[in-house]
Amino acid sequence: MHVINQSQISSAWLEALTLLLQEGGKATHMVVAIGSPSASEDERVRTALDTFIKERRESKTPIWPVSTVANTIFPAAFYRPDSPSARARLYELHAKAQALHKRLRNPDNYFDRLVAYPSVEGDPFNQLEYIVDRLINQRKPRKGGRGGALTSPYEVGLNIPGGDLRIQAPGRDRNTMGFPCMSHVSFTLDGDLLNLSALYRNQHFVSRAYGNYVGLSRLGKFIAREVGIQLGEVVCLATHADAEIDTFGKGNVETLIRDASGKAI
Amino acid sequence: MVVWYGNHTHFAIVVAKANIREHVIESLSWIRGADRKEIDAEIKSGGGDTAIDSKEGEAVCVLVEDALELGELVQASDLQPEQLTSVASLTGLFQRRIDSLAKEE
Repeated sequence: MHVINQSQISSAWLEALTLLLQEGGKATHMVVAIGSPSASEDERVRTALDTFIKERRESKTPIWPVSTVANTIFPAAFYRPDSPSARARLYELHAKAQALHKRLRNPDNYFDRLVAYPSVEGDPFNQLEYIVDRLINQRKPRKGGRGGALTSPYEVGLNIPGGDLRIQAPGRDRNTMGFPCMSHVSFTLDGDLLNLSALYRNQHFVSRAYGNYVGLSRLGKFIAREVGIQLGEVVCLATHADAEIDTFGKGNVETLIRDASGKAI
Repeated sequence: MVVWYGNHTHFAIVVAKANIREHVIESLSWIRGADRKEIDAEIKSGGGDTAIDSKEGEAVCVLVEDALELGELVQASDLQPEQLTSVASLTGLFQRRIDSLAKEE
C-alpha cells in the first residue's frame, strides 16, 4: 500500500504520480488524501498537465481535458449556490446536457449515476438528494437534546442506493475495461466537517486522476454547502493505480513530472 | 417563390443562420440564470467572445436546437470540448451544421 497525504490537489497528484513512476508505473492500493481540497491549485502543476493533454489531443490521442474529467463527476457550471432552488436547477441543467449524450453517444457518466442511478425497480434514483436530505435530518437537534448526528450512516454499499453514492450497477456494468472505474463515494461526518472518500477499482494517473480529484472536491463542496457545513478531507483509494507509461511513454511521463514540479527527476 | 430544402424553406434556414449567435447568448444567459446585459458585458469585455464551460456548451446546444426548430443538428463529433467552450465556437458549430443541412437537402 502507498499513502500520499498532501494539503491540496496539485501536490497530492504530483507526489502520487512521481511515486507511481518510481514503482515502475503501476501499484496496488494507492491512497491519496487531500487535506484542503478547496485550496487553490498550483498553477505550474495544472498548466503542465493541461499542456500535456492539449498536445496529445491535437495529435488525436483519446484523452480529455482536466475540466471535462471533473465535469463527469460534478458539472460545477450548473451549480450556482446563491441562486434560488440551486439543487433543482443543477439537476435540470444536467438533464438538458444528458439528453444530448443519450442521443449522440454513450450516456454513461458519473454524475448521471449520482442523480439518476439505474435502480432495480427501473426508476432512476437521485442519490445526491437522498444524501443531502439525510445529512440535513441527521444534523437536526434531537428531542431532549440527546445524541448528535451519526457520523457514518452513509455507508451501505451492497444494498439499494441510499447510504453511500453507488456508481457500479451490478448486472449492468459488464464491461471489464470501461466505465465505471470509480465504484462508490462515501461521506463521513465529523462535527461540522464532511469528509469524502472514493473508491476506484482502477485509476489512470495521467489522464484521469487530477480531474477526478477536482470533480470529487467539487462534489463534496456541493453536498457540504447544501447541508450547511464545510468540506473536510477528500481521500481516494485506487485499488489499482496506473501511471500510463504504456500509453504515453515513460520519458513523456517523466517530462510531465519535471514540468509540473520544476525539478529534474 | 418559396425554395424548399427538404422540410425547411430557404427562408427558415437564412433566418436560423442569422439568429444563431443570439440564440447561443440567450441560452447561456438562461443557463447561468444571469441577466442578458451581464452576458453582453462579459462578451464585450472579452473582445466579442466569452469562454463557456463545456457542460454549459452541451446545454446550450440542446436549447439552441430547440429554438432553431431545424431538427437535431448537433452530431457526436461536435461534442469535443474545444468546440463547446465559447460563444463564437458554438455559433460556428451551428453555422456549419446549418450549411451542411442546406447542402444535403
